Amino acid sequence: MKLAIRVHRLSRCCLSTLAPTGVLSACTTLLPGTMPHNIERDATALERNRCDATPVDPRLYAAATVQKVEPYYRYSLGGSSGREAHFAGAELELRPFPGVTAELLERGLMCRSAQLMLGHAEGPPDEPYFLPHGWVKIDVQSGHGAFVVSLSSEDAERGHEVYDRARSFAGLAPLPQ
Amino acid sequence: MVDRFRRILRAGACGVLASGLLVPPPAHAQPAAAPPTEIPTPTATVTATATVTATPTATATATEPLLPPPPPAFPPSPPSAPPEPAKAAEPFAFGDFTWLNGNNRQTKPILDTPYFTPSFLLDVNFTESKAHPIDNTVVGSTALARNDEFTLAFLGFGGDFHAGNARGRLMTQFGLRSTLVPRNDGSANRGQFDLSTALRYLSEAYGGYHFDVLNGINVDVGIFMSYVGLFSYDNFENWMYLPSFTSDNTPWFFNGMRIQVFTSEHLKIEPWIINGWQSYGKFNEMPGFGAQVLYRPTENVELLSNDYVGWDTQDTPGRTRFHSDNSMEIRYFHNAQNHIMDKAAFSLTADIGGEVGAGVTPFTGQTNVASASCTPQHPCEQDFLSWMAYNRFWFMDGHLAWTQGGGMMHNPGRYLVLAPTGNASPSGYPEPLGVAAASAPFGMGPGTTFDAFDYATGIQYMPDEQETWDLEINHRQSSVPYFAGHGGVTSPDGYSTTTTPKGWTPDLQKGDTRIILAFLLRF
Repeated sequence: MKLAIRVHRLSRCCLSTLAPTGVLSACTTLLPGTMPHNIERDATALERNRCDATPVDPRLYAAATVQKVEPYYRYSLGGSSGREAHFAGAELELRPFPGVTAELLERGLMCRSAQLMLGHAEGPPDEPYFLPHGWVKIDVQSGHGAFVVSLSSEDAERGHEVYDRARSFAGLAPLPQ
Repeated sequence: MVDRFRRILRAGACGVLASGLLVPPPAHAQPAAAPPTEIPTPTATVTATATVTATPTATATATEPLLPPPPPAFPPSPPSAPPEPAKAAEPFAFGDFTWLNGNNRQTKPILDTPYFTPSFLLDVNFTESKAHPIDNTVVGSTALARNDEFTLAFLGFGGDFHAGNARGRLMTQFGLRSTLVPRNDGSANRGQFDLSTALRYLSEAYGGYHFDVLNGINVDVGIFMSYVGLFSYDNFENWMYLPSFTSDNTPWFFNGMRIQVFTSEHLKIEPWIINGWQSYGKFNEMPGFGAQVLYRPTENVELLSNDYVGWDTQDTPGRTRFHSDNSMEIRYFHNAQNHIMDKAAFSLTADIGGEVGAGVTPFTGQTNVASASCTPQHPCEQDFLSWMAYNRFWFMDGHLAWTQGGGMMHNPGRYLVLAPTGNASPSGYPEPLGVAAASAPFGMGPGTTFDAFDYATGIQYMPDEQETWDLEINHRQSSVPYFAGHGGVTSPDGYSTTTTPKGWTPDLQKGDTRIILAFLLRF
């Protein structure tokens, strides 16, 4: 009898704990826009869509092509100051190559990023085109004699990580905190 | 900031147009001294996998390579880059402050361009009062105006202009708030040219200049938002749709000049010289003076203080208003890896203010007497003491949030009480619907008293950075009849076109319980 009561209490306790968790987990799965970021899945898709049979030319992502590294901010309107700056990552200025367009460079760096995330390629430990546990968004634009590569991550903390890696990769000393 | 715009120009779609014509070469451009040395030889970088199978050698021979055949080795060492002077960091960019009450939770504009960042705001609500007023009118709020109807509270479009160091902001204002908020400004009745009509469709309109000094100094002139009372005028930025009295009864905008001085990436000091306390014009001879101090020592803490002194009583230049609004926000839990509940934070706000001179005095003096009895020899109490507190939990990676909170307000003299409308309008308040003089005006002068409290809870569903779905329940209670009862405040049948019979009085109650649904959109 005592055992039955204990089992009953235990099951009530478990149900009261698990039910809300289950509901929230179900909501997380079912509600649109609430799925956590799946890096492996997205990196696999990126590799599939951006990597060709031709390997990415190593010179595109070599440290020697980086001419300058600056912080990369995003700006949103609002707040008590009128707008807010968000530390998003690093902005790299890359030396251009003959025949390489911004699209080709972006494609090559995206492929490189996906392969690094999936462990399908090796590189220096501070290579900024990927994070060990985060997503790096790559955007390349051209103009004024150089490529500008924006490397941004999902939040300020990872943005700083990308920036620090980029400075280290380019041979710059880390900035004092 | 200048560098940022130059970078955008250099990199953006307008780069071709700008190159050599509009924008000079960036001052910090890398010197051409470093000759294009031969790229060091990389090692093999692509490991053989099922996805990437071709070896560099095989590829080079099989297809036309993008570049000359790549050398097979990593660069042996990073190139030596010339040291760059560290630029001042953008203020408050060291952390993520999207969790704050009264701050935009968006992290990036989706419609950005090099010279103009557009913005679009939409705010639609549906609120149901337990009293079901027959005129569908809400009394005592700047967020809500109509009961039992879908209401377009705010529709605004505009954005930020930026070119070099010049900056400007235009945000239009349509919907109920374009009448709801300006009606509380008596300064528009002074003189001619109908300030309320001229400016009611602008929620923000200013221009200014940015100085690259310290971590930035901005000087702006025009109409800008007030954050006295913590909450933002744009409900998209707030934890709750209907704020407590501390926020609802304090200014939403100022007209004048502000100087934002970012002394570090953690601190802003922002003095104001303005026409008055949420006023388009000036009530007396002196302008109002104030300042905001915003301090964010870490990503989890914000301290905000807004302080004001001015002369905001019609025909009473000798009456000085002072006000101090102080808020603290703390994110006491944050675990981004916890997808069930990732954040929890609270905000606490306390205000103290008063008026002194011309028959009133703060914190002491007479109460519950006729205004005529308030004299310099026997002044009446006129002050404002209030607080509000909110707690918020975020669930499901921040897509769902639950907020609980409330507050209290003590305002003898009622100088910050939101005036009831319709036939309860205080004397001198302009009525946009052309209602005749109120049959039972709500007393707002010295000698009166007003105490109130409220509590609320609500959830917000935020599927993405652009939209918020809000559901909340709110109860407000006052010491005097103030909120709209079932009979409403307009006429016996609720319509403003119906003649009000002699002796008819608006139905004001001491309590108001309501449910609010709202949809907010921001691009």
